[in-house]
Amino acid sequence: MTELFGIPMPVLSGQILLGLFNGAFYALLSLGLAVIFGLLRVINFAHGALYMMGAFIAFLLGQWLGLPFWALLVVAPVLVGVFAVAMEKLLLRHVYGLDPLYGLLLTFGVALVIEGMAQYMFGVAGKPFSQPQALSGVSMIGGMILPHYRVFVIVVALITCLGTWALIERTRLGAFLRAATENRPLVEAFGVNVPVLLTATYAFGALLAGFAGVMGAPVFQVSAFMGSNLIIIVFAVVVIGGMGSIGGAIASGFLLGLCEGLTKVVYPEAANIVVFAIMAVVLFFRPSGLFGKAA
Amino acid sequence: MGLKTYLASAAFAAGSLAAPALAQDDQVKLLVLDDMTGTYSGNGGPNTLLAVQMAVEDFGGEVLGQPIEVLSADHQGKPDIGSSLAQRFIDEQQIDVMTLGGSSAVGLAAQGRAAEAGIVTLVNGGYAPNFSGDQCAPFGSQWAPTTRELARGVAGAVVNEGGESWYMLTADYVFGHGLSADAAAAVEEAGGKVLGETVHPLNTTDLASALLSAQGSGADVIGLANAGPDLETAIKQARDYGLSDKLVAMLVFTNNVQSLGLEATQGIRMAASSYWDMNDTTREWGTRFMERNGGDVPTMGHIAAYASVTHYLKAVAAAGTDDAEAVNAKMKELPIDSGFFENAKMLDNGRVVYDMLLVEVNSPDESTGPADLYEIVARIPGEELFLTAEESGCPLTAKTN
Repeated sequence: MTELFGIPMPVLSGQILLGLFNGAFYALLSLGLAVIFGLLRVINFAHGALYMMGAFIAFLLGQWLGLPFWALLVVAPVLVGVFAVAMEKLLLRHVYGLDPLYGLLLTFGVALVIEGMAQYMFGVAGKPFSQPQALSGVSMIGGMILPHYRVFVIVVALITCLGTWALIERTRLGAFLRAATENRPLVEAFGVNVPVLLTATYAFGALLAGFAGVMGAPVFQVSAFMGSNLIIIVFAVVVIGGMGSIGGAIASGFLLGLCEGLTKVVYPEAANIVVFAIMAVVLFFRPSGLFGKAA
Repeated sequence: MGLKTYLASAAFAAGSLAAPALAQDDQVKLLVLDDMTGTYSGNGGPNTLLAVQMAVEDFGGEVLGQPIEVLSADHQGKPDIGSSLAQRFIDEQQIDVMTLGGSSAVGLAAQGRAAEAGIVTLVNGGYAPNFSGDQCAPFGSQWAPTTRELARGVAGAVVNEGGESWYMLTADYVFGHGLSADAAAAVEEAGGKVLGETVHPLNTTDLASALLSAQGSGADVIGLANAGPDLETAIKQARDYGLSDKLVAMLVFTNNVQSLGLEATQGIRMAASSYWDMNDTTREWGTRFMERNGGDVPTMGHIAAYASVTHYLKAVAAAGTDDAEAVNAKMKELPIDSGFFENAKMLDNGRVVYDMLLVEVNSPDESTGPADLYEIVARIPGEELFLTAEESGCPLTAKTN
């Protein structure tokens, strides 16, 4: 059997697939963060809580209404988006234009409230969440195990990420958004309703988080702290990609998932610091991140 | 008389005046000190309080002609809070006995306070060997099995059934390493071999890569030396890779199985001290318990809480006093025959020894209802698993030669 680093190829390719799978979540979450930061200049610390919310809404709708997974994949993120609209209208808009620190503290506070409420309502134990029947199988390709659901997540995340990138970088709506961040008064002068644009942007970022939450529910623990376990790494991913860079967030999400996955094979104990080590190195040589523009 | 002697005798006088009010007023006051909202509130917590209340009700609500009072407090899994709560209830409420659950670090701190004050402790949800080992208390008893019995119970049995080569998934902290070492020792003692180990950080979201490494090693069995959320993650993700039937868990509670669902947990084997569907007594009680809490299956901690409080109250009635020393002696003398543990007896170091169960999680098809979680596969005699009082390292019962 062919080997690399003393590890049989099928095992190694299995680990690479896993790295990409985790990378898919990093990419989806850091993409939402990058969109929100890029356009609103808000560091959204509530992102992990919104991710958790997506998973819990899916869990509850599945329990109460018996909705199938496919429906949940649409309905739950939309509900998270609706919550985000309310949050933006009531709270977040008051900190625009202030030091980014205020937005960070506000969203961090909201995250603590959401997580505390989830813990109060659902306790600390995880909730059961099954994979959709159609995707629960496993294929073997050349000795490599290919769980269908994980491949599905990677593909869907990739499509979503590329779609978002195209929406912002290649469409007229995206052009308005980018213009509004560059020079808001000028865009308003052209008759564009910028506040609505900002609300929609925040809701869209939250929707992406909720979407990741639903996709993560069958694999990760559905619990009050599922987001806070992930969000720190995601912030590191955003910083490595370059704050506010859409393409950078996507690329670094998948890349870091891969690096982390390979570390788990070679030296598992280092797996949860490798992302931060890379972050330190990147910041040392390129303070604005791999894909960021120098400020 | 020098000032020092004067102060000492004054303190002594104050102490001896306070003591009778503290321990021997013949009204039993019981404190349930547990993790009510935190990480381990599922296997102990509010349901432990319910089990204790049921024990008191089933005993008739009174002993020595006076009503039994049940108090409860949430130590939040923090040793400093647990320790000061224990002290406060000892000083202000003159409690006679406390049941301890949740993190072992908190339980040990509280048992220390209780030992100083001469209070009886019933450890139902503390799985560290220290409770009846190096930190044993004169009036303490440990009803929960320790990591040692849990690991050895399942590891030995699995090796004997042909699962000879093992790969360990270990949580990177004291508890995980202890569990892993106990299991490895038991595997090797039974003639098996540990091929490798992956150490993972606490509260990790991804255990699939560790599971893949385990699979790559070609081991027959993947031993899970972790607990709570990490254990649930490992079980959930093992299913994706078709590895569920290779898993052996060291510390699983019925609430973990309920939260994961039988679909994900079927086939997993583990050791347990008791199970609600074990005999007629446990079934009768378990059914009432689930009627009152909305269907939460009792964990071995909840069963131990009921059994230990019942045994304590019996001992108080038999001794005719709530004096800790007399009651403790009676607890060791009286047979533990309530039906919740098999062949149970209490050793001099406070260790309660009983036959352990080897159980296997039912498949959804085998299960006859939401509470039908396990099938009992085998029973392991207590003497084969538990340490004797002399071996336990308890200073009160150590050999003096």
